[in-house]
Amino acid sequence: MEDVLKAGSGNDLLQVPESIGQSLIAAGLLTEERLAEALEIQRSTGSPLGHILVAQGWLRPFDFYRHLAAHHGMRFVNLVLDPPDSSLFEQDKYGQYATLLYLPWKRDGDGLVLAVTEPHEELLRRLRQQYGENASFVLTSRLDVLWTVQRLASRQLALDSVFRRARRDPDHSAMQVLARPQKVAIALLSLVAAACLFWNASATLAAGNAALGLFLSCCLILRILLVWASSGTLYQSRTTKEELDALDPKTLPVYSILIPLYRDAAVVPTLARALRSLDYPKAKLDIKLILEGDDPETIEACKRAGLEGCVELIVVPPSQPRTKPKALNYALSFARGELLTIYDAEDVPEPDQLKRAVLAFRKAPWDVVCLQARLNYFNWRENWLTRMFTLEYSLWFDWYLPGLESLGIPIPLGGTSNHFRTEVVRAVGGWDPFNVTEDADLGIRFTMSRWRVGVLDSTTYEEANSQLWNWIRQRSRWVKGYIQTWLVYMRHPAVTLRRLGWKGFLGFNVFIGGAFLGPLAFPPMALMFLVWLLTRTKMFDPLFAPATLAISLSLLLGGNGLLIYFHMLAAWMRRRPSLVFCAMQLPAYYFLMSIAAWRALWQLVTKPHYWEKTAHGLTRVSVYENEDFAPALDSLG
Amino acid sequence: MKTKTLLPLWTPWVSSGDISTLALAAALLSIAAGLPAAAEFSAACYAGNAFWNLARADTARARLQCGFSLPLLQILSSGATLIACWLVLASVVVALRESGWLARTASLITLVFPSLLLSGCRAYLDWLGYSWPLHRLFY
Repeated sequence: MEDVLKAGSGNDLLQVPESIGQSLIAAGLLTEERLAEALEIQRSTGSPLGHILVAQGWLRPFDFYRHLAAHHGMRFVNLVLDPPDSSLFEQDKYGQYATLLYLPWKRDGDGLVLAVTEPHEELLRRLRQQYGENASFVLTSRLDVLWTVQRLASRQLALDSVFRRARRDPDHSAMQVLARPQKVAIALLSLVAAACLFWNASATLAAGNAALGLFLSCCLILRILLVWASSGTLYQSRTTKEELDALDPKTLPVYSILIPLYRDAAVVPTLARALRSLDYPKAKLDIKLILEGDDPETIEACKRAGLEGCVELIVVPPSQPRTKPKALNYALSFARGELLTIYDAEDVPEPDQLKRAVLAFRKAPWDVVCLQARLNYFNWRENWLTRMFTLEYSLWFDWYLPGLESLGIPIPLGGTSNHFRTEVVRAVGGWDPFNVTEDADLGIRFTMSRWRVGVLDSTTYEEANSQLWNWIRQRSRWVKGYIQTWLVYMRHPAVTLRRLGWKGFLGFNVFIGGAFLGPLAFPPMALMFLVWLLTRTKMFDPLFAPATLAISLSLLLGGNGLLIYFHMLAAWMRRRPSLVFCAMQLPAYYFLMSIAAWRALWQLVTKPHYWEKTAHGLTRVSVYENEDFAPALDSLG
Repeated sequence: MKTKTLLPLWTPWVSSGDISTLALAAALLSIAAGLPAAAEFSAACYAGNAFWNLARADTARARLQCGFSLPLLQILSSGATLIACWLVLASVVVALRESGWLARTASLITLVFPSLLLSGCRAYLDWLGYSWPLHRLFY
């Protein structure tokens, strides 16, 4: 067997000679046409033929590895029927097993027998160094290794996916909602406020009103600056069509795609189609569908979807907290790509998004470790809520985030279509499973670690929430997550200031703080205004000193008006003229946001780590039947 | 919506974007120096440059500049001539650039909304009985 393994030339044994192709044809597992097609793909992408055949779904992994073993005179083992000796399994090495795709299988005299899936020289040399020169090798299937690692390390994987981040950096984990100094500060502030109210209620309320007005003015000024800054570069590509065309597929790295699914059986067919539409060599895709162990419907739907061999199922055992970041951490251990991205179940990314990300990373400075693609909605015409939601997203992702990037302010990532350098995500300990906006938290953490986040000129189309209660639940989670994130990074304000710089620190406080303080302040302010408008009461006069009145009136008139205008511009630049008129209805949408914000505040106290699952697949609109998107998305599908 | 591109304005010593910034700065300086004619001229330059940029390409910055140029003229102009010219120009640019009435109306709204907002704020403050702090700084 040694001779056989050493016979592998400079490349690896998965660079299967054409003769194995012939043997597969002889076995009736492959047709001549498919083999010719696979060889053509191999010539253009440089991927191993075996990977291509499996990734394209033209050959079952089991059949391929069995033939590969026979071809090279190696023993093939089925790890399900002939499982490894569990005493040889080292719990702290599951990440290594999952990424290098091998397992210690049995003991054979003095040496170990290792089950490998990719028996190339470099790996075998490394394993011999680690396990001794008398280690021997058998061949097994990639899926067998993955399933066995999940089975034998499930407890350790679950523990690590929950506590790794908190162990590594407890000060910046949302496991604890309030740190002790924060509790003391809140208690002291409450005492002082109560004392002041008792001493002089109207002066205290006037001071609070003035402070709120000043803070909201800062929020408005920041948003004006963001819009101005991003308007100069809006839709300017980091990558051009020519550069994309010139991209050599052989140089593309392996790309991991993590897709957490929970009760998402209804959207699996759309997801499968979106994945098939991706313009990226399939043999270089490492797609993980992350499923929950107690969700048999979605698991069954994924199995029925006929997904290609580049898609693997990772099943997370049920445990608390039941959050998306925990599922992502679990799957991160299995990610083999140099780059990594996350999509949600209902996402339809533009087909060339991965290539654009590769190019953008190559052109970006070394410290850019994450690129956030733009998010928008394909069902924006569906009802009033989806129109408002689309307006909001158009401004947030097309204007605000590029503005934050150009002003050097930390970017709170969106929940999907974040493209990462995988090693950096591992280096920072993955996602915080206790933070319900783990994405926003990760964006800030990158900046805290002196890395940078950029914006990618590619759009992922999602399903906008079309049902009110579902929307409120989703928005509550987001607002709760923003509060969690703000509390986490304000535990040690001096450290945050030192790491973010004064501009980043102020920007973080105003942008993230404004995202929850604004909606929380809206109902009392609006109520006060309405009461005054209807009754002309003098009751509120003590709260408004002349300067406070000027600020409040400017915010009420100019502030709201400007925000409406910015939303109009965002709709126009997205080429959706009918949405321009809808922007005038934004104050009603703000009211809904306020309901969600107050609910979020209540939940932060009562259920801080509870993840409110957003239901997907409620829309009656199909992205592929939508005239706005279908041509572009199907062009490569 | 269709895109029409005109020839770039040949400015040998300064870029189009710089003209806009210079015009805005000049308008502000003129206000500070109490020079109404200079302020009005600068605002007109700002508006003209914004329209030129918009006519060349419908970029976010050009549309934003155009949108803000009308309130600037409203604040700094002594008469209605410049405002009327602005509206005619806006109508021409919109009619040339866009096809369909929905797109034309939406496009026009993104150009005139800041002006409507300014007028609305002023009307509201008048109704409340407060003085309007910005209206016609010189006149």
